[in-house]
Amino acid sequence: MARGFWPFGPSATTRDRRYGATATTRNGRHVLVLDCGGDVMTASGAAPLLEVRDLVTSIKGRKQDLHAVDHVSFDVGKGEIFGVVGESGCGKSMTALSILRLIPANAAITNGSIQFSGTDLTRLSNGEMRKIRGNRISMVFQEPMTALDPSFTVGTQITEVIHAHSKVSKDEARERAARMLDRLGITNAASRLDSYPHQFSGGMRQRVMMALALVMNPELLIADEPTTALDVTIQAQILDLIAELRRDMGLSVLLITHNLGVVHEVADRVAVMYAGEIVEIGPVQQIFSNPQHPYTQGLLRSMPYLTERQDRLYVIPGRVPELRAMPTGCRFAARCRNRIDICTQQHPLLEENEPRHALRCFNPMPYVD
Amino acid sequence: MARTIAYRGFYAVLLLVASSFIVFYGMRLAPGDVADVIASHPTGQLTVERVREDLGLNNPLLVQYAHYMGDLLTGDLGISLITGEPIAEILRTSSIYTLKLAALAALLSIGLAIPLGILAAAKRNSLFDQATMLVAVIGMGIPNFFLAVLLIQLFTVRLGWLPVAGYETPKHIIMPALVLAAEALAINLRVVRSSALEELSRDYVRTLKAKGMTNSRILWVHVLRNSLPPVIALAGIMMRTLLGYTLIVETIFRWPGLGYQLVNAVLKRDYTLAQTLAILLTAAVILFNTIADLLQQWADPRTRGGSGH
Repeated sequence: MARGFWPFGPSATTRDRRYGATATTRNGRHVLVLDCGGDVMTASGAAPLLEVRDLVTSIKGRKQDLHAVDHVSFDVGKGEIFGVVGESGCGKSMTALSILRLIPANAAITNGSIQFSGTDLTRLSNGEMRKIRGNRISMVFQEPMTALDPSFTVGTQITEVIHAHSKVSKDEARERAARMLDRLGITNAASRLDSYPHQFSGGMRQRVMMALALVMNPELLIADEPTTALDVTIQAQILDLIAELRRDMGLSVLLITHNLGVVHEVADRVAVMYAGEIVEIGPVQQIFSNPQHPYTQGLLRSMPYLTERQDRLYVIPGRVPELRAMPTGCRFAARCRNRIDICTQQHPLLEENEPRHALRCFNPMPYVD
Repeated sequence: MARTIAYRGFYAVLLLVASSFIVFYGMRLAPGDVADVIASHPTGQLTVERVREDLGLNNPLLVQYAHYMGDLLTGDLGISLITGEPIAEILRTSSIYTLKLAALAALLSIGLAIPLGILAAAKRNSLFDQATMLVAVIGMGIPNFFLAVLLIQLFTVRLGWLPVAGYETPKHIIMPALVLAAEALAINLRVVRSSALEELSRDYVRTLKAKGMTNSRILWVHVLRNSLPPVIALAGIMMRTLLGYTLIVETIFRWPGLGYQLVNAVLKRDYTLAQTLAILLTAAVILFNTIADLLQQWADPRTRGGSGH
């Protein structure tokens, strides 16, 4: 994309990762089918930090169970920032919550596995899962205004994570909390520990949230719309911070966002979700320069650019199908400009069309702005 | 805060003066006369007219009021017109009884409502929740004098566990305290439950789970703390209601507190005792209202104002 908009290029590393999925043949083409089984290993033979396979998260409905997350598979490598984008209700947040098993009471993981450092999180007891939360996998949420307990000081809220996961003295926990706040750019960290959340600004509160999440030095950070509620300058600061933490701490990040700009800025690879499924997955550079799926193309087209005069923003026509009325064919078919007959009859599979880049489409078209 | 307190204080004094006036005139508007009571004493040789003259009851009402208030403000509470006992002495002994009873009832109502209400919220729609809410509905719906009769029927008549009335042993306080606490307990239960339910649905609870906090810590530390402001706000109003109910409960159980003394004094037209007790109770109610307002501001750190703390 010769747009000249991005402040810096995508920082995708060139780790070679290949899906060892089952090979199949369709339309005379040799393709890899990604969403049905098989161990996906990295090329170097080292297992990725997080491997999500065939994850189905269902919401109990009156008539049938609805698949909010439908056979989603992806992995996040060590030190990788993996983005998941999609519009509201596409299942991206549900995917994130499924990993920590924090899904609402009326939902359940009904299929698939979530391998984290060789442990299947879906099989852990509640107690074992609790030891992982906030310790080895942390999560930051969108709402910095409401995600902190208003009645306790920030210091208490950070130190209780430390006390929950390690045996340290009160003074040491406080010191660690102060160091973490300081590390995340909060001035007078030690005295700010005694402040209540309402005494911080939105951006500062998000830093406190990050301090909560990072104080135990987790291997994976799940960031669910971490910048959405913040204004743009604060957004940029928080994104810089995430990139910096990855570089300095070797942190892996699963970044959930509806904002393609955010993904482009910090992520290495990205999965585009639509109606509970991944429709396109690949390195950020490839997805942005050569998007294949009509939905991804539509998302890119509907982004505003500062360098171009646009009277009207592009809008993808139509609406996301409802979970209880999923079409049998391609879920995007009704809104797709490249629709052909097969699209409404058969459900497309997620297939690799170039190395490390896969999409779920019968009729991909080259991207033109 | 200082302005609030000053305003509240002024308002309270005004209210107290007005209510003392109403109490004083109200007592004298009621039919019957203390002189009749005293003169009808079998051993006495006093005539009604003589008694009226001695007590100053023939003076204009306004003069009587001024005289009474003057004495009250200088700390001279006078004596009971019936027994001749100093009113200060009666107040001292009976207020201790009322304080004991009210404190126990308040402790029962809040001390039980908080854990039970939070547990009910955590186990929403469970059998426990439904049973608790049923008890709450009954507690709110049943008049306390009727509840008193039911408890006496059960614990005294049927089971013989508790004495019917009096104050001699620790057992005597159980039934009056239960009856006095019942309505407050029921209301508190519902308030705590709905407050806790609201807190449980907040974003910070999800954050706490993501931090790896145990459910019991989330419930008994974070949700509990955040559920308290409405309960505290209600506590002041509760205390006021409790005080009012002592009149009924103490009379039923013959618990010699302020309420029991007041009812007796009114029945015997013991003007000095009755009006002093009534004014004192009014003062207590006004005080509780004021405290409740100030407590509510303290309970929620966000309403304390300022960026410091």
